[in-house]
Amino acid sequence: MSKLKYLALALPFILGACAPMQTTLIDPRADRSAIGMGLDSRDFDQAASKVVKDMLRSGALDKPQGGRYVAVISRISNDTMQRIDTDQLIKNIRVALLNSGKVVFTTAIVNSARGAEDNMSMQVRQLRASQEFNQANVAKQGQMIAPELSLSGKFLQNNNRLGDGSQRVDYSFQLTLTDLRTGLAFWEGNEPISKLGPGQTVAW
Amino acid sequence: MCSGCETVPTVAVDPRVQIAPNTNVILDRIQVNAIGPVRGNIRLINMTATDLPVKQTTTWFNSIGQNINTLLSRPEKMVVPRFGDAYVELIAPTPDAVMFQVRVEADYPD
Repeated sequence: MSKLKYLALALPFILGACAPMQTTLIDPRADRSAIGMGLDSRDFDQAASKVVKDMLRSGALDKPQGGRYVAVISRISNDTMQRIDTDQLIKNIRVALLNSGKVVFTTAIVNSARGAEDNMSMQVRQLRASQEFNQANVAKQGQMIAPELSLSGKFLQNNNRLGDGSQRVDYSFQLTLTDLRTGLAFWEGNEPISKLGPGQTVAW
Repeated sequence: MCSGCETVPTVAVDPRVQIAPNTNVILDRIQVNAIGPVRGNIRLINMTATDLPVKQTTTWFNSIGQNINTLLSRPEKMVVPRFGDAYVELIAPTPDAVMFQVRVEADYPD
């Protein structure tokens, strides 16, 4: 009985000694956590930032007659070994481009099996027949604006074993900005991220 | 000149660029266009025989000094190669971004 009593008393200390690491909030501006061979938000942020700078610097987004281009996100494929939601990178790029004042994105175009990014643009048009709604606010025909530019891309990954037993993983973010009127690529970018680590690490 | 004294190289201090003391890189020059949206670059040089991994963070402000929350203010890792240079690129993220502050710090594990 006394043994059990001692065990009961010691249990919290035993469990405390192997307590998991305390959860802390990470400020992206002071993120000193270790990096892995896979991709994390720091990689996405850095790649997106470089791509946006490149696009803005190139002048491809400077409309000759002034104003903003209307753009749409096209197919972004993930050819890496990781399960990546491509929106994680693309959303960063979209927000930055929108804030630049040079581009506005349409969400009303159907570009995948998932349908349009926001189906509501089409659905509210069904209210034209409804007498329950004041028609003043219902979108009229011919008010939607077609995109002029399309952003498409691909994420790639290459793994290589090196002579010293280490592993090199090269990721590549390839993006293309196409002028939809002519089909010509106004801008193309390729942002590599290369990582070197121990050979035992699995990069997916 | 006194014996035992040594001349400490001085670098022009620009309040727009902060380089952490342990970084070992030197601010060489800042080039910024005078007209239109802020565009330019900052040249960092490494006079040592070691590649120096650094992390730069550019904070952008509007005309009344408010911080602009933007992707382009996220930390960017870069390496200043031995006896070489590296550039921090400055591109105003929004039309109202008129001021910037760049912080460069060592990107070594703590």
